[in-house]
Amino acid sequence: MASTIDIKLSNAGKYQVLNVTGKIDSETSDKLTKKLTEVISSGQVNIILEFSKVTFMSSAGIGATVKALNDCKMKKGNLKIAGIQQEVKNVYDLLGFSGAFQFFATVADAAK
Amino acid sequence: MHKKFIDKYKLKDIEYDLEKSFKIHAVSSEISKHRKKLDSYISKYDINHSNLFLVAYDEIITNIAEHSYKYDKSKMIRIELKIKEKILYLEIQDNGPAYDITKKRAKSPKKQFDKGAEGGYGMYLLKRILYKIDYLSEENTNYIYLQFNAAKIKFPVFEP
Repeated sequence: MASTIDIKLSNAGKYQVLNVTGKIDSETSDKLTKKLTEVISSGQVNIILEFSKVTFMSSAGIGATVKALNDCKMKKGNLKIAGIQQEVKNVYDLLGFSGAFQFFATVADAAK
Repeated sequence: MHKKFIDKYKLKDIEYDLEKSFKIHAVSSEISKHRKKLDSYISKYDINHSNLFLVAYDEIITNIAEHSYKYDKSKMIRIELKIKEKILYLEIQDNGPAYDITKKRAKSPKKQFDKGAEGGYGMYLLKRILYKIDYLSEENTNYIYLQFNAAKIKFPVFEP
């Protein structure tokens, strides 16, 4: 079976939450990028990526989140990541991005 | 596995815990399907940071499929996996244009991040994750050798 991701939108305070499920690789990262672009273009520039159900992240997925963080900050917003599994966070850590992104255990923590 | 890799990395006479060979079509759906299959084999051997190995594997296979084969589903990529005492040995073969991946410069992730770049992180990740990576081209076949040893991964201390 090919990779799929599912993205559900919700809200937490001023934040638009993208609840992502699945594996983010070169096959599926376009879907994440497209959704992030839609959300940011609609004016929602404070975003939380809920990643507790993301089980794999390739460099394509990292790239999608870097671009989105940059786009949000250019519009005076922010992008945070919640619930990321350590095995997935290791990819951010290897790139030295642990301090560049804000990681939280839960959406509630990220939305404070 | 190519004899030159066997000799160079002293792989002769090793009694592997697992030896498997695969062939996949150079399309995204097969790459991700096969990655899942690989994960199911690896998970039986309690390999630390196996997810990182799959990231590196995914990077290389996707590069071949995209750049060498332009996602031509008629093209095949051959993979040989061996495991011994939690170390993974992989050889990947393709018949695309010769391209020595070991000579590709890894871009600085910090510089890429500062530009908000969507790409350019793969090569850096490969060099961080893999203990050894080697390449040779012979008779229109490219051979990439990978060795993964979780104990050798060093997480950097710099922060963008």
